[in-house]
Amino acid sequence: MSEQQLIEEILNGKTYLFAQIVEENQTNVSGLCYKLCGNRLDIDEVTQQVFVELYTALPRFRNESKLSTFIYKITLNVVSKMLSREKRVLPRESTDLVFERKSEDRNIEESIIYDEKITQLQNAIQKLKEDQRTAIVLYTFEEKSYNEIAADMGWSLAKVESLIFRAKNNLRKMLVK
Amino acid sequence: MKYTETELENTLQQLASIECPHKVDVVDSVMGSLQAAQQKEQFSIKKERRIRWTIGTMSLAAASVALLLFIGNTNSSQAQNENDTVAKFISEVYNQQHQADVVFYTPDYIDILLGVDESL
Repeated sequence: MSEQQLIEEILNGKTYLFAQIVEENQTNVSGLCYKLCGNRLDIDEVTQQVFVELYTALPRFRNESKLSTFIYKITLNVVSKMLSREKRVLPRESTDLVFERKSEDRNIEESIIYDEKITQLQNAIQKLKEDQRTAIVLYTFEEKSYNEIAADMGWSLAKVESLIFRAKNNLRKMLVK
Repeated sequence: MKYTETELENTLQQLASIECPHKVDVVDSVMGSLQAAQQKEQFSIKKERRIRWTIGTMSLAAASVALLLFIGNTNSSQAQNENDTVAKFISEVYNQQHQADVVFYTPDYIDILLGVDESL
């Protein structure tokens, strides 16, 4: 069954088929959520919320872009919303790291520095305008080319280039060493 | 101090390489949430239907009462009209009777009654 047929069947009342979409995409979604917020949010909870919102938004999905891109956009919105609601700050205890690291990877001091750097980047990404955030996430985390992003989002190639350029500039302005 | 372009690229790559430490399986919880949401929706639909039914029934009852009152009022007017007609009829009959009496009690007859003999 194609992606389009699957969505049509779900919209026609076969809700149980939605489980297939969840099963196929949950690893990517949880991975992106973890990249965007680390342990600051309950990843299971965020992932679940993403799929609940996806189900609600499914009637609005037009097959102009891939479902995975649509899911990514929803994930970005959900994470952003939940982070601003939680308003959690960087954990102060050195043992309570935002990212779980294997002990052999780094010593505790390096882990804290790494943690701060990554958290700073995550916060900066959250502060980007929505279209810039979407572009930089798709480009960096999904490793999509400019052309793929343009096709998926229905943007022109020039717009994608401009968005990523501005996103990187803004990130550099926000990040401090 | 601002990040250089390379430093930003490196940090972005570091962030991109991070993987979620545990396997997430939310299929059951998502489907459970959807089912609960649908049940809630169905419940609210039923509730809405019940409210509509109550409003409909009450409107119907109110309309029936209004209709009954209207018919009652009409009947009452009709009865009144009928009464008026009967009264009128009686009145006419009475008048006719009265006139008949008047006619009946002609002066001649009155004279007879009084024993007045005009020929005398």
